[in-house]
Amino acid sequence: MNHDSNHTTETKSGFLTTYLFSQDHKMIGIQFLFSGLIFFGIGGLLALLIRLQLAWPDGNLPYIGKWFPQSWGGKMSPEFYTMLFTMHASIMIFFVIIPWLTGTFGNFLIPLMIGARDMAFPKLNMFSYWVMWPAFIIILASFFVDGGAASSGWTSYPTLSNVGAEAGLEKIPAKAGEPIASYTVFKDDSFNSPSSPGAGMGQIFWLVSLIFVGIGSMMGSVNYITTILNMRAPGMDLMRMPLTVWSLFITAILQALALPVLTVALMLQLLDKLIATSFFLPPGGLSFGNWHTTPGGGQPLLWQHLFWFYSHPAVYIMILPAMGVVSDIIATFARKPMFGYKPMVFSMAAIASLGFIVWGHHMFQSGMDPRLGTGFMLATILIAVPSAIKTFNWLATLWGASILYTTAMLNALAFVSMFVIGGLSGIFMAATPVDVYFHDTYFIVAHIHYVLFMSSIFGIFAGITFWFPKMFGRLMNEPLGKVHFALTFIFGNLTFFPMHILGIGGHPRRYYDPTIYQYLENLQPLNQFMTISAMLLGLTQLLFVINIFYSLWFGEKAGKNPWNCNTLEWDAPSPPPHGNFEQIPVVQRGPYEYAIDGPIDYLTQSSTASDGVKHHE
Amino acid sequence: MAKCSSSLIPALPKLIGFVTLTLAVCVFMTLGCSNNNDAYPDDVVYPFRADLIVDEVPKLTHDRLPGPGQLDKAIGQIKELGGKTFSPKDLPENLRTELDTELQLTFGSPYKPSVGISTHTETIALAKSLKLDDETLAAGSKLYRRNCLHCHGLAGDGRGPTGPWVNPHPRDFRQGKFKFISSNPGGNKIKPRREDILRSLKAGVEGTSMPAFGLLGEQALEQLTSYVLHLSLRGEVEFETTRTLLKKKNSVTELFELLPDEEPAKETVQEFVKLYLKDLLKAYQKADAKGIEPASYPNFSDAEMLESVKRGYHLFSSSASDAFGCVSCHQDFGRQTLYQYDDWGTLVRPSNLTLSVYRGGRRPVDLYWRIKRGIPPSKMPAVTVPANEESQKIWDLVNFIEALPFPGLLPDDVRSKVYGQAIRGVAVLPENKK
Amino acid sequence: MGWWLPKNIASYGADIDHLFYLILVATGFFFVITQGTLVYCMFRFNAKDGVKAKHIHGNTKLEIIWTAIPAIILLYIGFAQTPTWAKMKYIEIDTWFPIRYKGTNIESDLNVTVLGRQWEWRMRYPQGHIPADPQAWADLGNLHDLHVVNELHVWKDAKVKIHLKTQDVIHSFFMPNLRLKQDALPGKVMPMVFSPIEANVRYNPKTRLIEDLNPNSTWEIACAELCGGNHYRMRGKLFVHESKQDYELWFADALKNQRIHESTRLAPVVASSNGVNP
Repeated sequence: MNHDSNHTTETKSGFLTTYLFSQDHKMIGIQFLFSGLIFFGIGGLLALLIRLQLAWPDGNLPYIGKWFPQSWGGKMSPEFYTMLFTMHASIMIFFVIIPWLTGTFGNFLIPLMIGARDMAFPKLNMFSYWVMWPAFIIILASFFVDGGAASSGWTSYPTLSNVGAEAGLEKIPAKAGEPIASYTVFKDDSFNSPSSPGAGMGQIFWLVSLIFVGIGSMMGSVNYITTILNMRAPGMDLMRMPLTVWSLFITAILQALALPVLTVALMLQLLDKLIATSFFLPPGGLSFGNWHTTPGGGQPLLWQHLFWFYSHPAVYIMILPAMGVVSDIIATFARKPMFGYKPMVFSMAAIASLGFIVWGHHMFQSGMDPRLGTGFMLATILIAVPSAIKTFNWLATLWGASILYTTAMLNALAFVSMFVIGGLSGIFMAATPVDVYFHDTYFIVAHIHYVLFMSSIFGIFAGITFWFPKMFGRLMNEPLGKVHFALTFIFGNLTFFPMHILGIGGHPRRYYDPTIYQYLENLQPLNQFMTISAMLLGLTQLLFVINIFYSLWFGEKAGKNPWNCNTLEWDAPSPPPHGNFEQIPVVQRGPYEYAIDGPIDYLTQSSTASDGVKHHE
Repeated sequence: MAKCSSSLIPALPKLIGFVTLTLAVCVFMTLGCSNNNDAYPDDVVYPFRADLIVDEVPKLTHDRLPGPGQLDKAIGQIKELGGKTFSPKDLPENLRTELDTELQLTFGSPYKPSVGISTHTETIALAKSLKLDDETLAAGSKLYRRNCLHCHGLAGDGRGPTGPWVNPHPRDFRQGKFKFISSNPGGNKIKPRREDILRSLKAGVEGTSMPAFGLLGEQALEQLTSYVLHLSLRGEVEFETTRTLLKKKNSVTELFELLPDEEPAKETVQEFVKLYLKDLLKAYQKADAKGIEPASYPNFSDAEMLESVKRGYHLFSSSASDAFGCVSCHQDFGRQTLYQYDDWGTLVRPSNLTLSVYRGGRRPVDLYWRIKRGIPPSKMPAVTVPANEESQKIWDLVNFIEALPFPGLLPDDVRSKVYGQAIRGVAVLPENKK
Repeated sequence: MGWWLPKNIASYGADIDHLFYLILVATGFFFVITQGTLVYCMFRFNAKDGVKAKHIHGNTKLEIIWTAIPAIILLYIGFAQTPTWAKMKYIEIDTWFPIRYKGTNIESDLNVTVLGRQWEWRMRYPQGHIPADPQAWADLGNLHDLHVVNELHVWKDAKVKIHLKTQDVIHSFFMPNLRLKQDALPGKVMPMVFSPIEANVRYNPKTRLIEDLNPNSTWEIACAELCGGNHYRMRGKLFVHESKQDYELWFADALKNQRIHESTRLAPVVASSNGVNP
């Protein structure tokens, strides 16, 4: 399928067509980039508020205590705090990391790196971004509804999240022999929930918003899979694709298979809240003081299965593209071929496949049969093997290399280093008896933030820095980028490493005030230290934002291939026009031919330079 | 193509300098920012009440409750339903300022609570005897802020951030009324004993969101009790003054109708506050002095216990003159009751006694107190029983109430009347047959 | 300093801690070699003029080695933890495949129902310590059960079975010192089985107070599943009496307190003598 006819009919290229109604995959990728940046800021602010509360749980919040109603006594309320961590996680996962990895890198890079002119379904691509906008608006609006935004955790477990008002029922006679002669059920038109204030309208908005996000992601994944399978340039065998494309391909498959489960689960919970179904309400009814709910016919545990069936593959969705990106960047700046290309591909596939059978490790305490727990434990432990293979391959790539320390490279190396920590901490949780202790403590929070912030986000920073010249025709500022990297690395470690210590000490997560426990008193100075680091970490990210905006207008102009990189996107101009390439390149070789003997040390995929050049396996 | 790479090593010194600088900033900030003072900020004051004052509640029953988050909206509807409410906003500016100022002088602020102005020696002495001295109150204030504020609110109004979202709603202390009391009947000011508040704190209120705070320790609980009393006193003074003024068309003279035994020096709001507070303190003192001493508990053998339960059943369900007729409110032993308004304008219902959940405490003495004293703000009447019959009758009723949730402890004829044929699946537990 | 694992008092706890240390050593080892290699590479293979990188695409033998070794270590960890898991959840195994689940098969010395609700733990102790039909007792109860809030009383070496319930949302009963937590699911009664190997309190019948055996032996209970705004305040205390007799002394007085027919102050058989965190 070629799009030559498309891009030549570009008569009206006004603002709307270029920016709002663009079907060009590059523009869509950039759209995801900027909306992700906005939510990165919002999610980060929420995180800082969380840390402020944890550092001074009973004190008067410095500076911002005055912004809360005076009747709250100079501090935030516990319900507000539950809202904070719920929305922080939801926004970071669904509105920052997944859009940046799959939306920005997926959209921008896939056609360019496989030598296509655009995605297989450009209109669908445009819709996949558009459908994010209702999600954006709804999730932001949810902060202002009665009861506040969703506060049942990003995991949104029933029955905290799904108990809602009954529509139309007032008095249900009990069955014969039951001690309570009738159930008096409250009738409430406001959708408020007896379990918590944020489980009312806020929860409904959260559910709807995430359904939109899911739809957008599913549209995207269909596009990516089709494009990669059908639109590769001549000579671009699957085993010649850059690892970035492989990672995005496998991620798209993960999304296509796992997202429907989440979307359905969200809809089931929405039905529970709106029309009094009881997918997740147990028989026997619930009692919240004077408010009683009717008996249901469902199971709260069902939600956990459905949710984690998606959310475990989701964490691989959030790391695999970063792994792919980092592989390409490391090979480029190590000026050395990627060590073990095929093992890298197969280990990504292994991670993805194993990722579908480990969801129960989030539920070891839920009361499942212990034998089932052992099964999940074995699969989880095995997932560490492909991750280890990848790490060793990265290290082997660096061995004997000739490393150039650009900002992108530094960020990519930080990914490798921090991923080791995040991955190793996962092994503790894979061992079920140890997980019984660590579940729902800060050890999990440490693990999450090492793999998501210290790994994925570093990968994203690396990727944005690396492909910024291709996107905008200008380079990002190197010294500023290096300072940003260094400070982020330092403050990030100072913020998140002590969380392991908190977890070992048994500090539970989602606690508004841990100091009421004697056994946590000694850990409180760590909380304060982490808050200060977190605030500095937050400030540091401004450097990245400044770098982006500065470079957009004043960055040093970039040529086609500023990094001397092999992959196909560097054959196109910077930035590429509609249609990407003047002529579709013909691929001659794999993407990692570096350290070539000869005047230049690299050989691009499309280069027709004579193969008399000596390169050894 | 720009040369855009540089070696790591030359950047290192720069990096080290930067890092040192920032770490120094870190340390500096940590030193300055370790503020975990758990007292209220000193600029927080008790706000003058803004929500509606409930004067009379409708005599309606409801079969359902308002939903979460609807507390003030529901109270706002009382007027339409036949009750009477006043809005403090209707109080004239000058009176409100006078009252507010006097309250601030008398009761201080959350940061520095007090009871009584230092020059009013009699009031101060009364307060001290009730453990309402400044030191205890300040400690209580910190504990309250940490443990109670978010439900019971800054001024004890039950409208903390959590308040409207749980049901039953957290107690609004500002009418000076409490439900689970053991002070002797008599007098027009029904006040709790100190021990009653301590009981609610220690054991919690089962079946509601009020947790048990026993783990805080004796000293903390005493301080909290004092602070709760402080909030209640302040609230009641504010409540009564505002209500009477609004009722009697802002006439300050009418205020003193509430204090027939007092001779005010001058008829001002300030004077009323002083005298009314003294009055309240005296009422608390009186309540504390003597509580209801339950009549002695007879010794029952197993057979006698069954007979006692039977008699208790009769007292509960018969409306004859020698019985108490509890079933008229606790219909079907509490299983089919309707909601009605309590003095705070919220909806409550006679409790379901088949659940073995007792809000005011499950000890037999607690049940005795509920029966003997009633629950005045919720309209549960106290029983009237001649003194010589008290011991037998009330303890019989208590025995019945205790046995009621456990079918195996009821005599056969009573059991069939209460539970019919089917009994929750399992007929009788072996241990229950005592 | 209080920055490490809390004191372990569970019979299977030592196994869990050993497993933790095993994993710590293994991960620590790999941490050191990977980070060390990374840092070494960063300095050693820094771009130098005139030096080109080695053109290597891979090495199958190396791949096999570094696939097999982690796999073996990880599988070892996997199988090493099975006996610990079995010890926690199953009755003593005499075959390598445990199939008798402790939760439903144990003969316990003490049954306690713990009801998690927003936002406290309500414990109910049976009057006779082993009810004839524990399941029925867990459901229905008895008039003379002892109701206690936020306090779990057991005795040293007792085989304890907790019937964990909830009436509103999911809570999780977490006892760090016992390395044990279990989610309480609405609509289900979940069993928890454990045996404490150390005591921390003694009951003094004269003062009617619970005394700590040594100063730093406050063992707490926390809620470990988000259950609403006050999730953080579901604090309880774990009291392990030094002997069964000690427990029974406490129980008798506590029950007497609950069965009081006279007006006395709520008797102080409630918490340990040192009030905490006022």
